[in-house]
Amino acid sequence: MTEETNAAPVEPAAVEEPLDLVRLSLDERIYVKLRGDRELRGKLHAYDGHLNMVLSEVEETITIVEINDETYEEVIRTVKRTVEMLFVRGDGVILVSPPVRTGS
Amino acid sequence: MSDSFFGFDTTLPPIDSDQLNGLGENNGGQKDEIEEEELERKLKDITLISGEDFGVYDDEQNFDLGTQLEETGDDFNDETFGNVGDIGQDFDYTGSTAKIVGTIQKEEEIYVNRRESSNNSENVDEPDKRRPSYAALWGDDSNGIVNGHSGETVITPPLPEPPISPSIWGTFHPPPNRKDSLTLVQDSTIPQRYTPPQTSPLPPGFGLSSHPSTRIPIPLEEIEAQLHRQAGLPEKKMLSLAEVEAAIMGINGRPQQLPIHPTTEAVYSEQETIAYLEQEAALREHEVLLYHRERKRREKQRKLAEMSRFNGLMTQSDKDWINKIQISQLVTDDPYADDFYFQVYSAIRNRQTQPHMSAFSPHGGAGFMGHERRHRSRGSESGLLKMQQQVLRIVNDARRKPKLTQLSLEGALGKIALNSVRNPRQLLQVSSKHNDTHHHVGPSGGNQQQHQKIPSISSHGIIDHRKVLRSIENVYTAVLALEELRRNQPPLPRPYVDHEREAVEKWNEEYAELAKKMWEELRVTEMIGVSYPHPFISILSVAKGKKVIPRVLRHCLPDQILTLITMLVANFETLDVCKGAIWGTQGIVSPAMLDEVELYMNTVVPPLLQFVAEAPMRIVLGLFGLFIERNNIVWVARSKVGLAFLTMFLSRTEILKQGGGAMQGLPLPEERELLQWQEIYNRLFSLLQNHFLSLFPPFNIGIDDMYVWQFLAAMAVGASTDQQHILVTEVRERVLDTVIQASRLTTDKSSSHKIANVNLFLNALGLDASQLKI
Repeated sequence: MTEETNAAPVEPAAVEEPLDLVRLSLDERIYVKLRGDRELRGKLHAYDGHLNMVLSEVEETITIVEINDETYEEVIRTVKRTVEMLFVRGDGVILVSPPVRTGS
Repeated sequence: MSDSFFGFDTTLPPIDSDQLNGLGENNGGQKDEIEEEELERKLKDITLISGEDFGVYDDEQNFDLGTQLEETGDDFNDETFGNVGDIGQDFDYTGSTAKIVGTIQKEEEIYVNRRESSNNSENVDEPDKRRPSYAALWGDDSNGIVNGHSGETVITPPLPEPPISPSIWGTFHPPPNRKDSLTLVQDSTIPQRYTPPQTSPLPPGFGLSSHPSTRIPIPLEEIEAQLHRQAGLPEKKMLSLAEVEAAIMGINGRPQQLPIHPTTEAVYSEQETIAYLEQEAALREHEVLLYHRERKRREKQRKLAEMSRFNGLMTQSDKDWINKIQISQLVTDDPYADDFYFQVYSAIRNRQTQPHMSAFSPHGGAGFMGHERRHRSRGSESGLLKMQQQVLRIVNDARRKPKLTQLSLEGALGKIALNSVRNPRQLLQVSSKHNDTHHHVGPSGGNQQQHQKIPSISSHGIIDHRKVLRSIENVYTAVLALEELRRNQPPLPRPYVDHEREAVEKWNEEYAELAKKMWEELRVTEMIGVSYPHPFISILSVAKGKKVIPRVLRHCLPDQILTLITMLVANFETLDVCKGAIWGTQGIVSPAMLDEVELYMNTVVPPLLQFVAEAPMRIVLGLFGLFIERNNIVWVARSKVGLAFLTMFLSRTEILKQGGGAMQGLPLPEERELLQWQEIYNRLFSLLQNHFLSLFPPFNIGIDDMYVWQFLAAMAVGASTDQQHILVTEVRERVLDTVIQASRLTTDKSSSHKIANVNLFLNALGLDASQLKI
């Protein structure tokens, strides 16, 4: 607070706390990494402090590692599916990434 | 015979209980057989002789006759007791008791068998089988079960303790002889089930009392009690045989209660065989029915008992308290903020089904009650009513005192956090400069500090994209708060009602303040040219910034809207949907940008169009002029949004020129304004001259070019003859291409649409596509 009073012209940062980043990503397509080797890409509609989220037009990517019974080779494959509207429970969220800006 | 071991002289040879039992049984069985044989014989005789139908065997009759013929069962009493002789003073009570236990049980069986045989006199071979089945069926609960046949109560072991009232004992006098005692007992109106004289000590081997005629099974406890009673009076004189007999008769006689006696030959002889067989069959059916019914009933009762184990554990106030705790978590003053999805959902549903029902009631918790109403329509109306009242009360309570998030007890160190639905326990402590970590949760959350800190972004020139996003979020916050405020707008104050007037004033203040904040967040009034692009344009360049515009404009004053449009028009070419969606000859616009353009056309343009459509000539001309002045028209006009704005201005001025403003009470444009318009128009035309064809999006890429034809039409209307000629010459190629394409199209719809597009322009010139020769 003292900083701000003596440096009034200094602009406050647009992001002052971690959740601000999520807040600024509202209505944008974001990337969410979830536990269980799952990833989501979708438009963020709502969130809360637990990182529960409502996403729309979601593309979910599930990475599955299968071990071949005979050769013991690890076969990694991904399963994708799309969901129109999705509620993500916050306890599974590892990472939330705002959209990558191409311009400016 | 035996030497008395204890010095007692017993004249009786010791008879062990088995022998006694055997005796009793033999006698009983023998007698039964005799009786039954006799009964059958007599019945046959009667039936043969009379041939009469004696009808249904009557319980009452049976009962009475049985009572009368009672004493016949005592035939062997003398014989039995005769052997006893002198009664000794053997007080080995426990031994006696132990001996008689088995005897009593056997006696009970005999008694039951005999009862059965008397009830179903024809089925003399049946009762032994029947009875056990009964016992198995009814088990321990058989007491008091109504026998379907006779309707009387079948008393089966264990018998309840008979009432031994003092009055019975008091009135009892050991009679001098047997006959007297019998009469006395029989005459007695008091139901005496067990009336031994109080003073009589028991004879040795009390098991003797288990004479076959003992039809009432005497519970062991009863006998014990009797023995104890007598043990207290050992000095009493011994009774004579007659007295003992009388006592036993008292025990066994029970004339009033003994229901039926098997030796009622007279009765049975009057019955008809067939009737009984029928009755028997009916009885069996009835039994089966009863059995099933009873089993069901028991099952039900068992379940009920299981469920009712905890009945009455909670009082009504306990229940109310629990309800209150639960409901209070659901109650909200602001259902739109806290239960948004349900509110919207129910609003939609209600609109479809019951348009008359308002989506939510004036008080909070409407959503919850709505649920209740639907789910509990059947039954428990009073409970529902109670619940509703409770909810109402809780809502009112919650209104009176705002929810505490912390509680500090007297004498306690620190504070106790009160967790609730809206204030959950915090797992993360994210340090924040200002304590509004929840600003994103509710629209009413305090953003004052943030608002105050809004700087002039202009000092830096380049705008951080995040700051734009932040501004948009703040705009949303303010807009949501304004919408919330609008919903709770107090009614117009009645005259002389001060508090209503005050409420309205307070509301107005709040509203104005919030509207001001929103306006500031929009950054419309930032200086032009200091930062590029203009902050407001930056906001409009984000999808959510476009989406918020219609909601913002609802809370704006006309002056503010004008300012907003002015700012937009002045910076038009920096708009993403303008600069990013310019069609060149080989122009390519990304699908994402096309979506943005569509969004802009659907969100930003309509409210502005509405504003312009009501604006007077002076303002429209001002905007028109500014648009041409500030932007590279040739370039901007190649975007859909730019062309749309030009069309908007052209058509509005045209309407006003023709006196269309009269609808809004606007006068015809003045001469000066018309001159000004002509000037602007000519300038626009000259700017676009030689570029009209380039306004079109590339041919054959599936973009609907209607908006271009609309613009050309708007131009054509205001054009002079020369200008019209130029217009037609320039776009002639496109017109022909379109018409040719339309003629080749098979589907009528797209074909006619294309023709209609061309006709928009041609009709404005007084032509038609059908006149064209291809």
